[in-house]
Amino acid sequence: MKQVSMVVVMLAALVLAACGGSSGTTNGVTVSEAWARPSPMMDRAGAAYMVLQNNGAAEDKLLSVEGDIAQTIELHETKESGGMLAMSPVPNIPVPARGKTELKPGGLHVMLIGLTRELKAGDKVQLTLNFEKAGKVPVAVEVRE
Amino acid sequence: MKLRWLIGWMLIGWLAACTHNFSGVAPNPIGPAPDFTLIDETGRPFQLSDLRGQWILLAYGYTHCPDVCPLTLSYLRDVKQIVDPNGDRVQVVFVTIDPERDTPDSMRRYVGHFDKLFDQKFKGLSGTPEEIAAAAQLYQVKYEKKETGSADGYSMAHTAEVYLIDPQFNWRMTFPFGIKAEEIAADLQYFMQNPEAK
Ligand SMILES: [Cu+2]
Repeated sequence: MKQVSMVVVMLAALVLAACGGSSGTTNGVTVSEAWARPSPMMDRAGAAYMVLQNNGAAEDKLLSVEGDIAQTIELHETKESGGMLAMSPVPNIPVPARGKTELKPGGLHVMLIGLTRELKAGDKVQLTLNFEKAGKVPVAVEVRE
Repeated sequence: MKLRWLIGWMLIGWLAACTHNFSGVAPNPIGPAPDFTLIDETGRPFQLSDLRGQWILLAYGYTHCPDVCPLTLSYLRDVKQIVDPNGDRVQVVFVTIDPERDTPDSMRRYVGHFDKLFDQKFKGLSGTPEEIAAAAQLYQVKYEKKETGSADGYSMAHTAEVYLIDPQFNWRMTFPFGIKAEEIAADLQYFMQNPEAK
C-alpha cells in the first residue's frame, strides 16, 4: 500500500515537472538550442539552426520566420541528390505531434538573406517563428561557432 | 615463460597500432594527385603542386553557401587546430564551384573567416568557368546550378567531399561529407606517424 502511494506521488511529481518544464512555451511549441554561425561575410546569407518541440497532440507547421536581422528570411532544406548537396526553399517545416524536428547543418535551416548587421560570436539575434497552430513563438538565437 | 608473455603483449600492441580504423576512403591505387592552376585569393596564379612538401586538405564549395560549406570549412579549421595550429605542415585549399559569382576578393574574405587563428592562411581559389570545370573534374567533383526561387539567387548543388594529398603530392584519401574534424585529424595524424601506411 505504501509503495502504491509512493508511485502515485512520484507520478504526480513527474507530471508537474513535465508541465513546469514547458513554462517557457506560451504556445504548443518549445524552441531550444537556437544558434547561428558568425557570418563570414556581410553580403552573404546566414543560417540559423534550432530544435522545435511540439507539445501538442496534433502536428504543427513552422510557416515563416520574421526578424530585423535580415531583409528576407526563408525556410530552407539541404538535400542530397545524385551525390550532390543542394539547398532549396521549403514552404513549411512540419513538427510531428508530441515530437520534434531538428534544424541542423546539412539539413533544415532558417536562411537569413541580406543581413542587416554582422552575426558576431556571442551576440543574440531575436527571431519570431510563426506556427500554423502555436502562432508566434519568439526565439533568441545565439551566435557561436 | 615471462619472456613469452612479454612477446605476446608486444605483438598485441603492434597489431593494435596497425589496425587504425580510417574514416576516409583511400583511392585504389594510391597515385599522384591531379594538378591544376587557378587564381588565388590575392589574384595571382596558383598551382596546387606548389604546396608539395605539405599535407593538403582540398575542398570545393562556394561563398553563397551558408550551410554546407561553412560546416566543411569549420571542420577543416578544427583539423588544422588539432594537428598543426602553429605550423605550416597542413594547408587548407578551398576551390569555388560557382565561378560566375566568386571572385578572388570574395574567396579571400570567405576563407579569411576560418583561418583567423593561424599564421598560415587558407587558400581560396577561383577561375573561369572552364578552368573550374577542369579542376573539379580532376577530383570527380560534380556541381550544377539550380534555380530555386530563393531571394538569395540561384543555388549550387555540389558534392562536398574533402581530399587529402600527402607531401609527396599523392592523393591519399577522400573523406565523405559530414566526417567530423576529430576523425579527419585522427587519419591525418596516423599518416604523419606512419608515412608508409595505406
Ligand atoms: Cu539555405
